[in-house]
Amino acid sequence: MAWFAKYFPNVVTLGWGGDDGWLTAIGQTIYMTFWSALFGGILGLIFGIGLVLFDKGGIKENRVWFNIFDKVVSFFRAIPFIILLAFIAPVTQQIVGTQIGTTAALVPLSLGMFPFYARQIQVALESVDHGKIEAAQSVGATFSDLIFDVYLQEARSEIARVTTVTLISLIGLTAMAGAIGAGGLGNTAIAYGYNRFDNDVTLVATFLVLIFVLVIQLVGDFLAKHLDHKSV
Amino acid sequence: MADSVIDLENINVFFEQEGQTIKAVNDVTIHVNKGDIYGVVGYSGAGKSTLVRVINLLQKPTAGKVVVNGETLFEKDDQTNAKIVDTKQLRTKRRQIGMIFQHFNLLEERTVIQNIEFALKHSDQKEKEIVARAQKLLDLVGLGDRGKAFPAQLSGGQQQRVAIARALANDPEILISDEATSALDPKNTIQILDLLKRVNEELGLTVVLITHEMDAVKRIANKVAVMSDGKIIERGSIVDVFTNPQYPLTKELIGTAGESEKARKILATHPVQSADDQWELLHLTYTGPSVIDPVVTELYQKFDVEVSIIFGNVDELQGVPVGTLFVTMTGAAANRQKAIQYLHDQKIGVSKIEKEAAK
Repeated sequence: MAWFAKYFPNVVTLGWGGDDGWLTAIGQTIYMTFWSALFGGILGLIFGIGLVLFDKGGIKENRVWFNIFDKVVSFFRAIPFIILLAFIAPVTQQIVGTQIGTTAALVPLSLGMFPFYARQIQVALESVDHGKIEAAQSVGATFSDLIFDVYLQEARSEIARVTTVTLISLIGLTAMAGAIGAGGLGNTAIAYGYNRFDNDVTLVATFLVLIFVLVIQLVGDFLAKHLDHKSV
Repeated sequence: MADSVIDLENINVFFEQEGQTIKAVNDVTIHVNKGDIYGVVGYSGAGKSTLVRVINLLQKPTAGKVVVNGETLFEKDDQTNAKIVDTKQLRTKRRQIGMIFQHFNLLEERTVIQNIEFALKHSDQKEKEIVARAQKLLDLVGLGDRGKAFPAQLSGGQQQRVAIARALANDPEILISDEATSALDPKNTIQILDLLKRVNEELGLTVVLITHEMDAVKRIANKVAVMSDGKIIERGSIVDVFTNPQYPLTKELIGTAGESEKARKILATHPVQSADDQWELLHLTYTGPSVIDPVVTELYQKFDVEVSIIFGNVDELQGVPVGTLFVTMTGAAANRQKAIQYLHDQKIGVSKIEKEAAK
């Protein structure tokens, strides 16, 4: 390990634990990714499903609701994330009780990722042939059967694929959350690396983010492949 | 109609598209009796698929009345508000109306047996009974050993069999086949049609068969309706419509038009050696075995007209042999008139065919 201390002195100085330690940063990134993926994911799924159901030719065709969903998604998608962080702060204050810190970042992160995810889900669900819906209706399927057994199940490999893409872009967003004191690997790279001219820290932080992305990509590809029976 | 299972009355299905009203189905009334295999034929865009989707209300009509098994599912005229069965009842009713599709529409992320079990999800049977029932249905369609396969691993014909098993899962009384053989090769087409015929006979199922292929209708249907531009232009028993088609479109679909063309081509290479007003080209249709031979001889003896056969064939419709003959009849005009009348009296369908193709 001596060579590592020699070439990456500042990395070693930061240490594992403590406020600026590596484990802390990794933990914060995982924490932010997990919870905002969960909240934003649920929100995105609801909006994605809604967009498909309310759309023209959808099973609950409704122009008013479609427009509401569509505009909400477009609105949040249009706001650059770094601005959303600031813009949403009063709301964050109401929900979390504070505007700064890792937990506070979950609100803008969820709101930042859900419109992207909603669009991806919309596209994934639209790939389900309408004939399958008709066939299910013809055997008396209920509304929830159509959602869960037809739309979500038939699109599951596409959903795995778009979820992977969304998670990777979400990790990108968590790196920006450092701006509101949320910590994480992105913050380490900027605050302890770039700002202090400690390039070794930036390098290692980037490397760790890459590992995150790689693992998610591999798991996502594996799932997408194994959930797909549409072709032999 | 005592034993009528499907009554569609004055059905309209209109779509608004870019400010225009498209009349997909225009004032169609149709009655299907129990045990019928009712063919609905027409070119694509004629409104066949839209019409049959009205039966299980996958397509809600703009106006009209839908009665299935004596129960009114939908009723609306131009003035009144629509009366429609509630969602729950409609779902139960839909299970009594099986449906199969051109592209099979199986759930591809489920195995074959899970596809059938899906149709049984809301039956009151226990898990075990559902599995047993699904297996029995697979055996019925001859795929008993493919339960664990995914649809993509099966051929088109096999997938359609699974779709039939799924459609039959809830013991329906009606089976709607929407172009179910149109994506299949000829061999699979015949197998699927024969399977439909079998379930019609063995399970007493009423079948509504939508297709643009007359051969499919010819093979298994007992009644047929011809649709064009949202209207039914001709209908009746299969034998009647085939032996005596009234409309040009029907003739075209049946192939009479094509056969007439063939007759003209043969005549062009082997011209009739008589003056033009001394002969005519006739299309004869007859049912029952070999009644035609003595008639042709009789015509010569009784009316002094000479009948020569250009070509002909015999089809079987509903187990009845139906013969088609293209003939030239040569003789004096008055004699020909009498001869044709005589043919009519013998229950032989006669229609005159233009000697020259219409320009």
